[in-house]
Amino acid sequence: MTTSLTLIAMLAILALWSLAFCVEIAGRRAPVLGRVGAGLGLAGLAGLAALLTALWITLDRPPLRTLGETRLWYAGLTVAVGLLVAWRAEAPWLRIPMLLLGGLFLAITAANPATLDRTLMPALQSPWFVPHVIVYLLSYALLGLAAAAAAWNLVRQDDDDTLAVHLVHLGLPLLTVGLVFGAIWAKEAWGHYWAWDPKETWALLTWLAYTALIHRLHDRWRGRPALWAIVAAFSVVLGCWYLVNLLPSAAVSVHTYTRG
Amino acid sequence: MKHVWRLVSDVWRPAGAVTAGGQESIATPDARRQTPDGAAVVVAIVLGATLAQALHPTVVAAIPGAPWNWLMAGVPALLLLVARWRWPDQTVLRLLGSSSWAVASLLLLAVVCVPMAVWPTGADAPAWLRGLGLGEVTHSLPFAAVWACLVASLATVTGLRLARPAATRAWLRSVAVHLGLLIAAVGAVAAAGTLEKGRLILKERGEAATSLLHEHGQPTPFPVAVTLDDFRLESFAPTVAIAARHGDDGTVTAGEVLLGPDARDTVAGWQVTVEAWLPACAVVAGTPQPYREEGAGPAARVVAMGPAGAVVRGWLHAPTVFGERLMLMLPDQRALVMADPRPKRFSAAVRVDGQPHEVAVNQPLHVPGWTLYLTSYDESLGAASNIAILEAVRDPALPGVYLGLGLLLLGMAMMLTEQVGRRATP
Repeated sequence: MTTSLTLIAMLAILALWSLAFCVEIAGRRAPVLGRVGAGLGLAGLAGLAALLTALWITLDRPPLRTLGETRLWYAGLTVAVGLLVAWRAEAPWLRIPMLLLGGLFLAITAANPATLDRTLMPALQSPWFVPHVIVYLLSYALLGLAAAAAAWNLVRQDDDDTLAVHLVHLGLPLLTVGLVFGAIWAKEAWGHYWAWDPKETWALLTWLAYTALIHRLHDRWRGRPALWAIVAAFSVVLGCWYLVNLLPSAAVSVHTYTRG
Repeated sequence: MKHVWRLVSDVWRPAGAVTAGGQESIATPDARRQTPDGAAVVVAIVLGATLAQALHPTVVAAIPGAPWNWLMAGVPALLLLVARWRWPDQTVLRLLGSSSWAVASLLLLAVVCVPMAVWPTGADAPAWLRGLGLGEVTHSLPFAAVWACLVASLATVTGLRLARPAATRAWLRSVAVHLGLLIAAVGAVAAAGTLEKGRLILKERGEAATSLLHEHGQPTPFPVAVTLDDFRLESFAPTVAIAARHGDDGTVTAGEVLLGPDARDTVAGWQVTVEAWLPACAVVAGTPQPYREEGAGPAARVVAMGPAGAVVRGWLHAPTVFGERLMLMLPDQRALVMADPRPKRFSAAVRVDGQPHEVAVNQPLHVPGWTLYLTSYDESLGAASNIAILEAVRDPALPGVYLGLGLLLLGMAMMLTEQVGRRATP
């Protein structure tokens, strides 16, 4: 599967989600249009699932190595989780920030098409690779959705934080699982479960930020301050995912295979 | 056992406590008003430690190993026990068990870690950071102080929960998370003080390695003799790439189009067809010759047709110990090159006290008391390397850390299942 074919597929999915977004905006007070929007979102998600499957088969490795590949998963998981939570929580408005976030990450990937190659360095050839990365991306999707939902409510001047807080409570356990899986894998591969590599340090910063946030939320810290804090906490996730690659510390990181 | 439990319960049972499942409070409103703010105390402690570190940057050298690591874990526990009898009105327990203490400890640990997240550490750290004694953050006074604050918080909260068992899911989750983190945090500090590691550099059919090499200090004896029978490196299939520069003064790693016998594909508008293929060769006077030897790489004679009808033809070869890079110059001053081979798998057939074993990345070898990890080889020789570098690690505190992480995962799994089963409707 070539880079150009992948790009065409991404643009098609992006078109579906853009249409879904317009329908959702237009149908905020019309449930029928809302269902059409959800259907379009689901169709785009099915397309993305097919694209990831095709990449997995043609590259002969999990498409989880480069930043571009992880963004594809992230976009898909965000929409999948968003559709599920919107349905379970009877909060159709969540589909709007969900489509914005998923579409944004897909658009970034389409604008920076990474070179696709089959190589997977020896350290990544481990049974821990797929669960570690997917659990992390799922937690990022939940925490990103929490931030998007919080930002959406702040924009709407709505102080209801129930859904955003719920999503943070779903994201933190998965963030912890991803961190522990990574530590066990590092021990198996390098002999050290924690080496204070810059990526590991950023992962710890993320976990500390969300753990502190959860403590404050348990103290009945709610409303606008909580919404702002949920948005701010997601910036640490972005630091761990992207910023770390641009910092001076990246020169000594063993996690450099995530670039590209 | 019953008496031990009663003793533990008595130590931790606060006077006039209010119990509410796993979220109990240990103070009356009056008592709460008299307790200092936890966040302010933690900030004061960490600021004091930072100031002391800045005034005495050389203190950093004393902290890396035991007994400092033990003190980091032990002092908070000792303080708690002393506090229980010295201040029976529970002021200290209220302070250490407060949410504000916990949040401040978590956030300040994050702040203290920021230099490690932004700049390289150790000898590569910026001079100004080393001047402050923060070149090795984990060995600095502020880090030790904030770690101790966090351990004190975890110990207090865990103790308070254990002193008042409750048959609720919330209690069990809270105990699993806090006790797990406490064990992992103390275990990690203990591990830093008890970990032994060193390198074994093995040469194919060379002498047995019987001592560990260390970054600093003299070699130490290793309990078993390790020899290397064979080092093997397998590379991914070569790819072709367009080099932005001439490609002769650096590595070329990007490549999408696979090279191989009869391969035909397009890269950056150039249609590349392989006319001849040598799976292993040596380059003699600029021309590849078949040469079957470990470390020899493939060569491809290709014809490339450009978008404007330009045609170039010649050999492509990535540098190996048996020959230099061969590439095709394109009219636009770029070059068509074979990307440097990427290792797919490397492994070492070793003998430990005469017994044959295999060690590879993600496949460590366990010998009595130690674990051996294959970390590197002679990268300048690539597949021709006859050297394997193993890291030997002895980590007696690991089971403790894993026990703590297991409890933490249990608590987090409970939290997740509770949330999944909950409908987040306002």
